[in-house]
Amino acid sequence: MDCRIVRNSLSNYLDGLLPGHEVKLIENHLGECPGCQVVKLDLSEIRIAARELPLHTPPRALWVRIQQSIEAELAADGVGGRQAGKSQSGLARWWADLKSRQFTFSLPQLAGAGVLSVLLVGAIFFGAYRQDGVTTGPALTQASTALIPEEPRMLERIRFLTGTLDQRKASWDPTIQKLYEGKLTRINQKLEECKQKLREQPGNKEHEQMVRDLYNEEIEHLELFDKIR
Amino acid sequence: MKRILWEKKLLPGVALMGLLTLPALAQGYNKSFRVPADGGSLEVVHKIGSVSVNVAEGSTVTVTARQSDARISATQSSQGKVRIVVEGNAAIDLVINAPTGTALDLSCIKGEVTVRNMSGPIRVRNTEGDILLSGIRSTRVDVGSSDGNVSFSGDVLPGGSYSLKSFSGHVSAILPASADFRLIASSNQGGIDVSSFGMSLNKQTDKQVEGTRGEGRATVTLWTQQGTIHLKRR
Repeated sequence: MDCRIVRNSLSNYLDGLLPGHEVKLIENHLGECPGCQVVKLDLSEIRIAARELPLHTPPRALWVRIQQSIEAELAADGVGGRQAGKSQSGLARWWADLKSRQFTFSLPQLAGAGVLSVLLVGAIFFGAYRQDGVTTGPALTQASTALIPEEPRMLERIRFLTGTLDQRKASWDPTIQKLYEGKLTRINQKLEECKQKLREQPGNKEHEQMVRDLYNEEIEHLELFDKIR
Repeated sequence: MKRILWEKKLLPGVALMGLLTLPALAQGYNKSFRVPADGGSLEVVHKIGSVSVNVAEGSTVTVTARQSDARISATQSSQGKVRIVVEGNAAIDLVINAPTGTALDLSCIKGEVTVRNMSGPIRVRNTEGDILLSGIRSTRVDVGSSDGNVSFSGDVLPGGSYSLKSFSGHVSAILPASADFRLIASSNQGGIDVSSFGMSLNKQTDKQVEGTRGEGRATVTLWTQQGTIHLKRR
């Protein structure tokens, strides 16, 4: 199965939206492809981080203003305006309404919209960045949700090395490739187990050390294969 | 007539030439470098095959391989560092003789790595294959194998740091009874046996043991995910 297809389906896979046969195909691929496995782990972490973000409720005044402007429009059109509107072309009426409408925003609303736009563009950029398999950028791993303090730095190093080796491994002898991928898969499986334990018991020093050791093990494994030509 | 000439003159000649060239073919690869008196440093990057490092008298590093088709790039930098890189994918067994104080940095993908009687800093990384260190008298030892066993036998010097790791293999260290060190041993699944060394334990769970022997003047770290850990007294 092609890495690009797998990576495009990972979100649905993690949401449990894929049919059984596709799940099997993706799991088979993940078992053999360390690169996709890293993407899957990253995506899982982003989902967990997103779940932990606080919910922002718009201020009540905003809804009041919207309600007032709707009522004002209805009053201008006459009480039966909405009913009469149904007889017009829906699109034409919507466009006419839009043209005649005046939008006003307060400064905090504009600032909020700006921040939201930046986050949205950042998320789209990051998604495209990951799908291309380019891994040399700054670790956008949510530092605030890192399981251990060194995790963002370690992930950045792993992404960089994995990106480099993904391009080179095609030229390796099959025996070498098998050793590289087999070991990487096993480390990642073990790492995921230990991270899960740490999530269940946050602050547990023993689990923290295991996670740290396994990240180091993965980095050393990648660095060893980075040396060979 | 021609047959007699062949049998009596040419055949012995051919046989003699064969005998003379045989040792050269059997020897395979052989290269030497002059290094600083303290041994300098040596880096090996190897894919498949064993690496064996032994002590050499004098100040020469010698690299030999039995395989005649060995594709080995052995170079020396202007600072005296020797770098050996095995190219291609053939299995090559390297035998290296170096002054005892040489700093070693050995990387091997698949094959056993053996280091004997060396006293300089030692760093070894291996994916599949055992790492065996014996007669070591160094203050810096940092070795790790993914799928092989790791064993160390040697002295523990004050201020020294000894890190022995394996992902799925066993880790064992045989240290002198007089060794003075702080121990950090961690095995996720295999079990830890440090009973032959009397030490004051700061922590002991089924996965981790931390303790001190003497004043704890050196640090010994033993780590494995799936193998066992054995600390023994010499």
